[in-house]
Amino acid sequence: MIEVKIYKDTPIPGRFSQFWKKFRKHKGAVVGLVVLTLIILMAAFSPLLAPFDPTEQFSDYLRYPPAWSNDGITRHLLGTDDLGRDLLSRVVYGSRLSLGLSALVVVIATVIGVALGALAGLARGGMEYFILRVMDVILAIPSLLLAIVIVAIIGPGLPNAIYAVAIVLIPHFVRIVRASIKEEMAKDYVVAAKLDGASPLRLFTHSIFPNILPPLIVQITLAFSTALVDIAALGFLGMGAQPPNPEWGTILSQSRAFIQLAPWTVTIPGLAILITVLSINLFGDGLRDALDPKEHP
Amino acid sequence: MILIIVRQLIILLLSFLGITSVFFILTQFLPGDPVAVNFGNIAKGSAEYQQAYLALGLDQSLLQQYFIYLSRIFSGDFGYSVVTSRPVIDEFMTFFPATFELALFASIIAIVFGVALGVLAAIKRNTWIDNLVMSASLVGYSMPIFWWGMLLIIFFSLDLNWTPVAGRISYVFDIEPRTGLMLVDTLLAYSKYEFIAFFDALKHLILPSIVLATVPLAAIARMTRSSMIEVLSADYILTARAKGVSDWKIIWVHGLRNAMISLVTIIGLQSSVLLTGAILTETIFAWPGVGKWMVEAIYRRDFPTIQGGVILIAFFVVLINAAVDVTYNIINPRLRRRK
Repeated sequence: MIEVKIYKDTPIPGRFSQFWKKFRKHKGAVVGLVVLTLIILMAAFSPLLAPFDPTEQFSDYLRYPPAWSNDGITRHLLGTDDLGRDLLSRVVYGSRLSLGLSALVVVIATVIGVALGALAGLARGGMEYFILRVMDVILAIPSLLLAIVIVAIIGPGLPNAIYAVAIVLIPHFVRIVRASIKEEMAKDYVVAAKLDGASPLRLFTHSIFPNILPPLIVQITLAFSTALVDIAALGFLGMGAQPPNPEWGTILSQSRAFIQLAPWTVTIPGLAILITVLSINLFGDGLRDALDPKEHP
Repeated sequence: MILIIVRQLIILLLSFLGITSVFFILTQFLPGDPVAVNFGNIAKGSAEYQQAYLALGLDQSLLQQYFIYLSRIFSGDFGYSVVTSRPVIDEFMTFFPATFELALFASIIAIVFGVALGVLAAIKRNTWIDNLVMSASLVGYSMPIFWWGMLLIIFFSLDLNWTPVAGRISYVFDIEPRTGLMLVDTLLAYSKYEFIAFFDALKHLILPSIVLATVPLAAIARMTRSSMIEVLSADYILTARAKGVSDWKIIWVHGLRNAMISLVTIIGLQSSVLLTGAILTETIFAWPGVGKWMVEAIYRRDFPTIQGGVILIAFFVVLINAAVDVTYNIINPRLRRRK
């Protein structure tokens, strides 16, 4: 058989490589992605990276400052806390809790939020109105207050904190998904699929859902950083993870009493929160620019 | 116009009904005797107990209980705090001015600096100034404010000894609460030390306000920049430039005024962010406001206080959002014409 190339062969870049081309230009976003990957790796391999167990006490080394100060020792690179626990190990192990819990919260909120948003977007009339009003009620209560009220009623502790933060995040997903569905529904390709006889469910999963993914992904990164801060805040208020769990917010609430004696036990865990949230937001910013078809035609 | 206000009022009423209903449903699931939950420990069988029992309508059906509950809430009766035995609404009124003062001061900081930095970044687009402002605002936006507060305490209060660590005013001053706003009260209080007291109150206020303002400031700066850039690329700006209008006038009169339209919504949305932040800020700085009051009520399982506090705070947020929506409709000429 003879192959004749009539047309010049220029491969059309796929969805992902198109996205990557735009994303790469965003220097901050790439830095964010790299840092975030490092933190995720830190969480995954914490037993290998942490020099000690996060709850192990060195009773002869209470409140040792970090190694770079005059009184510090290199065995405890970031110093020890008031109970003689190695701060580096606690922060490293804490990344597991903080990242893992936030990821869990985001998964719960995404699943429920997308389901409710799809319901509100595809159904009309009473159902849509009801869902939207319920979401408005949730949005009317300041997020952290709602979370602590939920925790206060169902009791403090990690699982309850997770539900509370997830509930707080759901309305944003519902709104985004509903609005994007409304937007897509009016487009011709959806009408075409409808004329082909697609059922509402098929319409959603095959035609609409792939096209509302970009705003959804952006919302997920936003929710991830909110979840991280809110879980830490709950931990800080004593309503999330309980000591001796090395969750970053919980460490902060514990070390608050030693702010004058051992300020590094305050600064270091907080810095970990800031760096993580910052890298998520940097990454999210780049994602939004790269995925938004309007800004870069 | 009237239509918009009516629509907002309906939404307001529905949200309020929703929030109260959520609490009514929650009370049904709370463990323990409903009388004890609402009124604290009263001996069973006593006349007081009976009275409380009837007041809650516990001898009637759930639906009737719900209406009794609603009528109580709508008449401003949120029950009594289990801890202090004072009416919840009175407690709220004592703590609210402190939060209001803090939030007001923080919003002024956030709006003034946020808008100024956003405009600066927009007109110096893609220069190092723009990059600096945007990087700083991203850091501010990502800031866990409970940590930020402690960091500022370490630096300004403990190291430099510039500002006090906690509270609204030194205990040396005995200020009679008239308006509840410490800055006003210190000036009203008749004494020859009023200015010393005023500056003392100001010193107490400055650090918490900065902490509370950080996240909204960053958000406002980012939004101002993007809407400013959008407005400055509009045709009417080009027309104004062609006519020879000065840069200053283009930016502040033609640019910012139009950019403000979309900014109003963003600034309005910050009220919820501010109240969330107030919970943490007040806890760190021992600021005697609504946020700290709520956190303590939760530690003490003081259900009537939690319920009353959340309903009142939510009502406040919904009210602000409704006001913002109406304002937006008034100031946006595009929406006005459509009507």
